[in-house]
Amino acid sequence: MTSSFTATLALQAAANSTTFGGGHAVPGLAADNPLVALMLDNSPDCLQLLDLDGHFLFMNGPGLALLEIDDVAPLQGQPWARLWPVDAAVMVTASIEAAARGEQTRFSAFAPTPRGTPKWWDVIVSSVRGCDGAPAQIMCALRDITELKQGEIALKEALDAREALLYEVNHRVKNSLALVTSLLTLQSSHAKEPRLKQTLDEARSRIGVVAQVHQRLYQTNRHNDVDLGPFLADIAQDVVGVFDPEGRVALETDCAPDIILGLDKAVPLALLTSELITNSLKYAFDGRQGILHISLHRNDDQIHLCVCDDGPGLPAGFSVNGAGGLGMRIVGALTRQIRAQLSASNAPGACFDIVFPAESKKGTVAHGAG
Amino acid sequence: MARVDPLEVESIMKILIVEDEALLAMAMKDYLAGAGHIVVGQADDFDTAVTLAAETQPDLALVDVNLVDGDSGIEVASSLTKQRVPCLMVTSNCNPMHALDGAVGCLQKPVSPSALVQAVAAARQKVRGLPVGPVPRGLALY
Repeated sequence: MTSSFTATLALQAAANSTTFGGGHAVPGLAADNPLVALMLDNSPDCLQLLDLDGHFLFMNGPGLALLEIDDVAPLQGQPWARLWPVDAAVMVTASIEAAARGEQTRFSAFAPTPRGTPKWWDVIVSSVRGCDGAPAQIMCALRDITELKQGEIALKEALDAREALLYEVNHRVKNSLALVTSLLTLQSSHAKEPRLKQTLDEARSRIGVVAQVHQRLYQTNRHNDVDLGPFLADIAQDVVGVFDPEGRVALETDCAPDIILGLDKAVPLALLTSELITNSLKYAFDGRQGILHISLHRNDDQIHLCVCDDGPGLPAGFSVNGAGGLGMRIVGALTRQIRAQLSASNAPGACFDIVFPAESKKGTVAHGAG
Repeated sequence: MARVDPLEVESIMKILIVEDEALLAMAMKDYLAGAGHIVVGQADDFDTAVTLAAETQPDLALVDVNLVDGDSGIEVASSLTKQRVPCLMVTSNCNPMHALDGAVGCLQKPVSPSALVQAVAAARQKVRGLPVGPVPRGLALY
């Protein structure tokens, strides 16, 4: 039996008592019924009785203790709504009107005790029916939920602090990556040997991609996963913009929406896509206009990513496993990291195809409507 | 036939890399190979690490703490130590408690090529019970 149900029975008994007007707060209430008095005195909640106009009549002993009230006499006949802070007045008045119609309402509100102790209450207001079945009085059961509310407030504050910290950390990471990129740019501008300059430019570009990946994830406010299609399309746009500032290469993207992937897969995919795009931009176009096509689709339990160009194609004998350049080594390593299959073909330009399972080996990576 | 310096042969180690970030593993492999060591395998999860260790019997395993799909490098170190494979943790968060799981030491990430090579040499000395010279910054031996 719940305490509120117990309280209902007790208050109904008290209200039906011919000696109504006694007891703890109102002398004589339930005095002829020791069981009712016992139940009222042992309730963990503050139980109050009002008349149908919402005037205070009675409060049980634990209620007096919860509200830190020594003398209940000044409350007698007071409008119950006046005992609440202004913020709660609308809810309190509405609940009295509903109870007078025989309806039950429930709300939670803040109301300090007369001594100023801050408290939150979970309040159930219902009617107490007379012998004729019509509402005769109004019963209010107030449960002290202050600890719960304080816990919620502390949790919200902790979450807000976490968000602020995350924002700050992200901001610092972004700035640090920008600093690294700038240092490499400076170093490159001072390099006299062309091969060294190219190496530094490639390093700067790779750091730049890492920074872009971080920036895009940071902007989305999603911390665990990403909608892969738009994410890769954005990264591709950025990479092409860096390596083809004149805009000779047209980027075509055909990326299905709603392929949601965990960051443990999405970030390596972004990096290896960037390497493949860079590879095409270095070798496929040779200063001429051309097309770079990126597609992403899901077929059943597999996701397919293709990066193709309309250049002269891969050299004879090219093998994804035997390619010795750093870019292809990075692609190979990242492909293995995400348990993907990498293949290359001429169609007729160079075309790299990456296929990976829509689920990780522990089954929690990719989902979505696609 | 060129004569091989026995001391040099003695210093060459068979090393297993247990690291879930492929590019970090690739970089470490290049650093170690550049110093003459033999990387006998790369693993990014518990099962692969234990299997490769049994197959290749490395002289040392370099073990990251957080592995793929939530696998624990600490459990890898514990298991490999029971297989008599010494483990040097390589992580961003070194903790002396790793010693309880058998790790001979811990190298703090990020790792430079020279620090990694020096750390491997120090770990080798430690495992063999030989005097350990100056250790690189970021390395703690247990």
